[in-house]
Amino acid sequence: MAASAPPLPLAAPVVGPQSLRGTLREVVWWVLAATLATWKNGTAYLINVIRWPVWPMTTFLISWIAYRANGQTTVAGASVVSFLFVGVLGQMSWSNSIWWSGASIDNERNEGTIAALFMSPANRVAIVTGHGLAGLLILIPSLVVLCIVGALAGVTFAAGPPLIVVLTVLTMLLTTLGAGLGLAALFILTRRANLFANVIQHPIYLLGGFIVPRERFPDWMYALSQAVPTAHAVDALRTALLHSGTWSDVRNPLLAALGLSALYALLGVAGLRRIEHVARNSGELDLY
Amino acid sequence: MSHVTPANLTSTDLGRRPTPPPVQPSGTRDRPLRAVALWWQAASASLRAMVTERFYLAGVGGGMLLLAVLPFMQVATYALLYGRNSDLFRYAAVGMIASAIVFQTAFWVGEILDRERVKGTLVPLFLAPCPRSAWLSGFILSGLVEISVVAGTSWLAAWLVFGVAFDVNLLTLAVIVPLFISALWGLGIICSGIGLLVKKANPFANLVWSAFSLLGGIFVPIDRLPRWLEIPAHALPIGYGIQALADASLNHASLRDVAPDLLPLAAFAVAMPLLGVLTFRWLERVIRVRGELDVY
Repeated sequence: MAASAPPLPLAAPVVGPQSLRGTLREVVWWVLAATLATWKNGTAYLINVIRWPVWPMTTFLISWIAYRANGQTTVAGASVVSFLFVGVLGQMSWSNSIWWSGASIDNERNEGTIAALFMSPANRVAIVTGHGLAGLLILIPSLVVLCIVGALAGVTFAAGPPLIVVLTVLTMLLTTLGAGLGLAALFILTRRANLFANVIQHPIYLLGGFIVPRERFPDWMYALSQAVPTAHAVDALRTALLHSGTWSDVRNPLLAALGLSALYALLGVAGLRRIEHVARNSGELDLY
Repeated sequence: MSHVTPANLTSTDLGRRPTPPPVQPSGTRDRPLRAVALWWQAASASLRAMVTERFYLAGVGGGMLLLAVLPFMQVATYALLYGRNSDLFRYAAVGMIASAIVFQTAFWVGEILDRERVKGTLVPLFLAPCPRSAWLSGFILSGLVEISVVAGTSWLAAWLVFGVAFDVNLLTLAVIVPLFISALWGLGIICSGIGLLVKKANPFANLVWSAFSLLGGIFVPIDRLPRWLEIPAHALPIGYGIQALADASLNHASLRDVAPDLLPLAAFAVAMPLLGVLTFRWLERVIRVRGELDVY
């Protein structure tokens, strides 16, 4: 006798007002699902697993060798290697904002999944955040390699209170995700995300003060760099890790980093909503 | 003329080799000329197609912005790091101008075939009735447009914005540049073959670019690198080329002056293209045997 199939759940899921807890659970689920899918995608090829850690290590080594060749052993009151160590962390954060969060919606378009994404009930902000979190996970081996190279090169810390250090690290992570949300909307609006990502990547490498301290900038360049949240996050982390910074030392850069990140994130959320609205109204879901 | 379609294909046809299409015999005297003309026709057509595609995809404004912003920012970074008046900055300025060619080697020549695979046009290109070297050369030559813009921007930024004084020996430069391009072309062809093999040419190009930046003497002369990096740096043509270019562009060095770098560069310029073609043919055979030409 053939086994009878279990009854199909014919009833549609209840759509209606949800409790806050239910909504939060859904958002967390979407973030985790997007993180897992992006992480799988990003590590599917061995060449990708190898190349991510190589790039920050190379940036660190080239900049260190350049400073050494120029006879400089200290920069902005810290040893060159320590200064660069934090700077490369900032550069990794900015790259994450661009290539994982920022390019996320465009990646969905390239893979032909954007229409399905727009049709799904998943929150777009959760999806972009998931991409950004996956990028942070994928950067863990890069961090390990950078720590090993830094230790061999003689990186030393003069860290302030542990709570301040933790706070500055968390701010760096929030900055990464906040800036990424803003960039995601900006990139998709340009319809040429890869090109635009490449265009803004290098100016921010300079303006962020990752390799060259911002104090060396001419006035106009310094003013521009004030609009880069990661630049403030790097300032705060350098103060906390290399100059025994206390709360009063890191307060201003921390608030600037968090404020700018929140602003970019809000602009990103509004931008993503607007894009989806326009795309649905014009029937061009897969064009975006 | 009857066409063989799957519907009327018989079992005896399956074991038979397909009859090659009839080729119209041409005069033996004009055959090499016709071959050259056809080669050039295919190369120039692919050059036009690729230049058009690049500008269509990026947009003229966007493309120019990308090609101008990156080199300007790179020059600015090293002007701030070294100081505008230092000899190291003058060297790095030439290094960054020359790096346009190195960049294209990794990201353009190295990725060409894989890009075609992603677009789904690789197999038709391999089956096209023209020499493979013709369309490949056309594609590679299209990169020269971008090299010119990037190198020009770096040169203008170094000269006009950061005040680098160039004292160029044109004759020396005229000898070095083709040798440098030839050596890097060979290197690029090897990268292109490996890119097809690993099926992810862009990540591979990023990996290669990291190595070229570190060992190529673009930002620091290779004799100022730590000893453990100096040895592998001498196994690449980039450092010799950039040092010779810097001497010829900044100090009006003659061919005799740059001979210590010119001779190894010349050896690389001969050896690398040969090695590149041989390696590429071997890798291509491996990929075809595996049946992975259009597998992504």
